[in-house]
Amino acid sequence: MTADMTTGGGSSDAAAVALQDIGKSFGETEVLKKVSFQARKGEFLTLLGPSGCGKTTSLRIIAGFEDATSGDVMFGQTSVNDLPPWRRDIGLVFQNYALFPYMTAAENVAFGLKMRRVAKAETATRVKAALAQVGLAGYENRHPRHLSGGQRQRVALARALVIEPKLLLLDEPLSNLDAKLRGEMRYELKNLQRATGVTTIFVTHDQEEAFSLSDRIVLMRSGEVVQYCAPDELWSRPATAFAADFIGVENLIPAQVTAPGQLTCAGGLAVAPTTVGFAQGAEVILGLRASDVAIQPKGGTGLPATILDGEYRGRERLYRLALPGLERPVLASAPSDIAFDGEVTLCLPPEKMMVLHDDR
Amino acid sequence: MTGKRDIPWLLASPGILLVTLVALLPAAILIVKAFQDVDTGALTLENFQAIFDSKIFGQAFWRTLRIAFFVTLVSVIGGYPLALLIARANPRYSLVIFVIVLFPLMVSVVVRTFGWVVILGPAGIVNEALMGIGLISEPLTMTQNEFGIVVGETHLLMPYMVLALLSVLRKLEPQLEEAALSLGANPLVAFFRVILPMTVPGLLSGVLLVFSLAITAFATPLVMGGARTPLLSTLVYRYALTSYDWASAAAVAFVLAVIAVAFVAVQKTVAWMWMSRHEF
Amino acid sequence: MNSDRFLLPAPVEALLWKLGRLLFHVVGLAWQLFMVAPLIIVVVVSFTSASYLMFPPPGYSLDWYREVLSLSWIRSAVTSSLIIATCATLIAVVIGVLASRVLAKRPFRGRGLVEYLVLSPLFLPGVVIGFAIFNVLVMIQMDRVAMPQMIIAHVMITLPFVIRSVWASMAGADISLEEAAQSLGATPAQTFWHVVLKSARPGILAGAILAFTFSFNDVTISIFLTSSRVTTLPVQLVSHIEYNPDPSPAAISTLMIAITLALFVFLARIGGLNAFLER
Repeated sequence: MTADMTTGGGSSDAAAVALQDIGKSFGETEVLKKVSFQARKGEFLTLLGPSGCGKTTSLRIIAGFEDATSGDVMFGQTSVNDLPPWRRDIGLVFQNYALFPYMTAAENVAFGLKMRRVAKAETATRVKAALAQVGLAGYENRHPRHLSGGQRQRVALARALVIEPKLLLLDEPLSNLDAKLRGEMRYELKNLQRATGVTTIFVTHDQEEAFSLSDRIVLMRSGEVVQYCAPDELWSRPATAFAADFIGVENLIPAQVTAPGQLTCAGGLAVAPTTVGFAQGAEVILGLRASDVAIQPKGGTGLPATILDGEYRGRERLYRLALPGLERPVLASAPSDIAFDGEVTLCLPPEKMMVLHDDR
Repeated sequence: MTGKRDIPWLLASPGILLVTLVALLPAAILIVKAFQDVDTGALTLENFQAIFDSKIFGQAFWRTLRIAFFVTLVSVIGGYPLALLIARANPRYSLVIFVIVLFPLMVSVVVRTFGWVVILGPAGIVNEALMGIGLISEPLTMTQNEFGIVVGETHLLMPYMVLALLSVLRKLEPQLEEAALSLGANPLVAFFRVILPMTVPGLLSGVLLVFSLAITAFATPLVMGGARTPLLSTLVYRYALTSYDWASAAAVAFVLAVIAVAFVAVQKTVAWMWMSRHEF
Repeated sequence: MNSDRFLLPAPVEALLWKLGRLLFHVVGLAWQLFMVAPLIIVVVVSFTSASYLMFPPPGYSLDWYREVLSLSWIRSAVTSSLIIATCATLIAVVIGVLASRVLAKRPFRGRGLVEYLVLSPLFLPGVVIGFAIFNVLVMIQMDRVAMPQMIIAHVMITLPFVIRSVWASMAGADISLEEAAQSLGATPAQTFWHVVLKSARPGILAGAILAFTFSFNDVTISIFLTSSRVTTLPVQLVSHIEYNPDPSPAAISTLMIAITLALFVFLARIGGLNAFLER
């Protein structure tokens, strides 16, 4: 079972959807290796990872378009392995929206209700309400080709939500929108999910989307779950060097454990973070965010360093610094109102250092 | 300025001249001939009267339509799964099927029809196999009749149906089908409610194209049908070169040309109407 | 919810779904077999050692190839077919490139008319055109000098294939290339030769291959123009199949399939298969 992997408790019987040891092979290639995770009722769960990590395959298995080679998909207490897609009561939103082009917005939204033989009058009111809910009241008779990308996205959402699904699956729904619209839709998506309380599984390769939307994140890589936890935990305690790299930890320095609580970086610099769980002599990766490296004018307590260059980033400046005892430059960010140059002093706080297993 | 405007016509003139002199003008002369008395040259309808009265024309006329109907029907039945498979299979398999469908299009009609003669003939594979397992005691007649013509022409024209269907199927995202399934439609409903309606334009243009090509096909009915099962096209040939009855040949040719041109006109109109109303 | 809308239990429906997909693939395979069967059969039968058509052959030999290659009527038919198809293709390419240039460049009054005129041989039944040409040749008493008439008729029937292919490749070409050439001092004639023709070369080649193939394979027009002096291979094949039920047509057919296959592979290499998808 997967309960030991969850954080923040939650008994397994509260799980709305659970994948249990799902394996999937296409011929010789194994795309999923014993993947397990679960979404609690009303939870917003994100499958995050680079392309080819198996997140979309997982989604397709949950939807019923692919059969798992091994393992079970559970809805509540029952396995749905034998349930074809049209009997799973799932709302699905695709990256390309997949609206039926010859149907109007209202006809698109009504499709699922028609399949469920809902009475005409009820269908009409529910369709109207669903379109109003996504802010498209008055667009009932438009065809998809006369709607903008954002509006198509909303119709697709309304179509998936109107059937009051047990589960909402979102397959990179924001990636076809431009940056500004993506931000807006993200906000609306979250509100809509809260309002309806529908259990949601969201697939994305964008860590920012994952952090801003999710209750929990399943970080995947090459068909395996790397980390499965709440966003703040992923942010502060990435499990491996891959996780740290994927969520944007800028400094990843190869190092070796020389003694408990002692690391020597490639180049000879010695630092003292916590090394619990690593044996003496282990090769590790030292992770440190640029924002956690403090730059001070030359002379304070810390390590002497030389600024190689600085890049203006608006509110802050991102510097590349050469540090004696390190092979590669260190990235550090500092408020842009003070411009540093030449010789400075760097403070590398041990409590912010992440000692990571190198799995890259 | 006028000189510049004349250039299009100047460059296109060899082509226009050739087609006009070698195809359109002779066709016009033939039309006139169809309405002329053989001896006096006076305008008359008696050539048509003569062929309409002849039993062989009536038979050939209905046989042509009947065969075209069945050829179109079987082309849809076979072409639809082939086109769907090309659109949905993985790229490599898709290319293999595409080549298998397209290559015969470039092979001589005579060769293809001859292949069917070998398969369906009295000592062909089908008869040998059926007699081998004891299902029949006498060879079935599958060449020199309408059945053989239908098989041969279907093989000839099914690629056109596949191409017509592919032109719409390639624009149809597989996600549409999955969206329908996720919304509670079973695969049959998804096919009839989502895929089929979207392929109607391609289906319609394919049907019209195959039907019109089936009506005018010549070499296949000549080789496969023999003398006992004339169609309109082979009837023109027989009147012209076997019985030297050119007045009748011209009249039959006129009927055939009218049907063919009418079909092209319908096809173009339908395509145009569809384009202007449903561009998605 | 209201699960009574389902007729069958879920596992049964899921199973039927899988079977349906399997059936779909089997049906697709069967129709592929239908498309290749006559070609494969012809090739197999051509290597028979028997003197009559039967399948499977009792033994294999190259007898029928020796037989076919030794027949003088076949050799002369092949020769004239090759001459006719080659000449017709060359002429059709020149005429077709000029017409395509007109159609592809920019809209002008009457472009639709030009299009319909040059493509009209596609819309008329071949047997009508064949008989119509024969009728005119007899009228002007030129039905005895056969080769030039045959070539001209073949130019006419292959022209639409050339135009459609070249037109498509010219329409896709970048007009700014021409403008760049002219800004560099190229005259219109130089631009046409060095830029327009160069960029349309795949389309021209594809059109030429299609033209050659359809000219070489034509029966409908050629059968009306055939005389004792000039005949084509497919026309000879038709009459041979009609009167001699021996395997020699299979040997000829196999040779024709081999030539077509070579042309097809070449066409695919230059990306000409897309010509079938447009329209």
